[in-house]
Amino acid sequence: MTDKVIEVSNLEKKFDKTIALKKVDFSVERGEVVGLLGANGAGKSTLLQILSTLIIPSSGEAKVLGKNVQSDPLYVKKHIGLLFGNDTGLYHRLTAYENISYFAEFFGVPQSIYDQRIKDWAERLQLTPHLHKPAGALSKGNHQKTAIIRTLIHDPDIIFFDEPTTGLDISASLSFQDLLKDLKAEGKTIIFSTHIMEEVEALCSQVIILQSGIVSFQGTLTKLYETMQTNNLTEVMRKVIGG
Amino acid sequence: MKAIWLIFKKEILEQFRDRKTIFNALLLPVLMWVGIAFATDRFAGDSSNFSQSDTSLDYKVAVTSAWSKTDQDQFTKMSGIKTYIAKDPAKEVKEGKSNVYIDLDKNTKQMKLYVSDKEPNPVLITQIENYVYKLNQSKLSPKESKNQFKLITSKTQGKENTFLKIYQGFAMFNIIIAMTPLIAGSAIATDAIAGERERGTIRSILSLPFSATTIWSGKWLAVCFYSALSVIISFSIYSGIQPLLKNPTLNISWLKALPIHFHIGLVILLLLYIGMCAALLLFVSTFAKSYKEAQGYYTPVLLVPGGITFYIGFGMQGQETLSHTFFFIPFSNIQSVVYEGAAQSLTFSHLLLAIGSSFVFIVLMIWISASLFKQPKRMLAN
Repeated sequence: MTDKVIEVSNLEKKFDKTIALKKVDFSVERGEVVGLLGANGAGKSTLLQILSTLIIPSSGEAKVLGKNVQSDPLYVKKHIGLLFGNDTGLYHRLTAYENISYFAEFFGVPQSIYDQRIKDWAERLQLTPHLHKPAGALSKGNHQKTAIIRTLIHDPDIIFFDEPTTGLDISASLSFQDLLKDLKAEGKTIIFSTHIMEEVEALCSQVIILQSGIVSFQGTLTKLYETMQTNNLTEVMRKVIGG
Repeated sequence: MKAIWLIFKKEILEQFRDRKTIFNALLLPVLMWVGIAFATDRFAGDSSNFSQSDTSLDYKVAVTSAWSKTDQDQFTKMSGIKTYIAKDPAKEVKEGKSNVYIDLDKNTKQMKLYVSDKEPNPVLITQIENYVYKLNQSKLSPKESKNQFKLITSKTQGKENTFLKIYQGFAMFNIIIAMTPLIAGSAIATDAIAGERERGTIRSILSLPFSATTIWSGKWLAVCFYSALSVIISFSIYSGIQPLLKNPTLNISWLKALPIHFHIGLVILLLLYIGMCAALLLFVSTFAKSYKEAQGYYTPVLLVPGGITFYIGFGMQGQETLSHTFFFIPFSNIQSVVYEGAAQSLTFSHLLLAIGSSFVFIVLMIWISASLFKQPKRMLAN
């Protein structure tokens, strides 16, 4: 029996005269890691913002954990983690630790638990020496690491990452990939958008390709390679995007 | 409630680390009110000199019917003061129409000067004394001392200057409480929403599992906290500096005359007023598309209570009670309460009306602002 945690049907989003998403349909099962691929402006961020209840769809329906994102946003927000790579949303006057613990308290995580989680993940992402520095004084990479820990601090069931490795160096990117593998092993459902094809090949069980707001492909990587008659994802994307 | 507390805690912590906030909410009141205290001290000194030297011909003195037209003309010519004949001159002084009245007994050569016991005017009295002296020195009067005019001065019941009394009790006290929450709260309110939008942190806040009203209320409480702190600092500084001044300008003696339940009502009203200012400022911050736009709206916002202070302070001309309408209108309500308090005519129903209208305004502002705050198009658009 399948356990669909994300169900999207006929989803449309218009910004004035611009159509950002058009009749989007897909579903994601529990424990899947889904790569959301597409050119800039294809609608990836819009889709993630609708799924995380930040913006309202123009029509259609999106369900997360069986709850409609429009009618039950608080339930959805409670069970998801959200990270936008280009805009970490950290408070510059608060330290990295305060930024994370502040969100942990919002989600009702006890201090003993969040302190341990912060310690573990900071070590893993090499953030420990910077935990008590103001976020405004951190490098872009450390900013991103802080935001990643903040996203995971309440142990969400579903995680949305929008270009999460933007600004990370190779070492931190690899640490992040290891972290995602562990989350996958724990049974977390992850949707992440990226332009780095190696990440997709290493982590994703499924991919969704968006083209001008339309889902042009959804399925496993194997299926994608068969369809596109190549074993190289970069080549696939070049064909799809037309670069 | 926990979420409101957490938002409040975060705002307090974050703002406390911002030099701009420390300056606006805590340091600016200290500098501003010390400066204003010394400036008003000098102004009060200068204006009292000005009023004492005011010997305008427009000033009219009531005289008895014993004065002939010739006597009146001669008096005006020699003293520079106009006169008018009153049927009941004592009543004229009692009603404040004239500051003194003068009776004349030509047979005994006595000029009787009756001076208001509430507001004696020493300059006027000196001028009248000078007139008698000049009269006795002139050709009109024989040089023998027995034939010379004598001036006998005594007091009569006068009228208190209600405008001055109300103005002194109303002006500075009202300005401190009306302006400080807006001045101190503006920087914090701008940063709390327009600032978060600009820095991109608003998306993190909106991704929390709490309603827009909850998040907005937490921010509102933080603005209220800093504004209240600023009012306390401002009032303490201004009242603390009064003993050092030659002409103290803060008169809160009327507060002491009020019963305890009025005091409780005034504290509630003051807290609601601070809440009202915070709600308005935060509404502006929610409405504005950028930090700069929000700052642009604050000047007209500050002019609202300033204009009301001017209107009530000068426009009411010492009228002791105000109409109910003043107590319904937000921002006018607290100032009207202070005005009637200073006039010692404040009724409990007016106080309750002001409290009620402030409460309604706050609820309305929170509702409207939270409705704007949850619009993703407004909040997330860059």
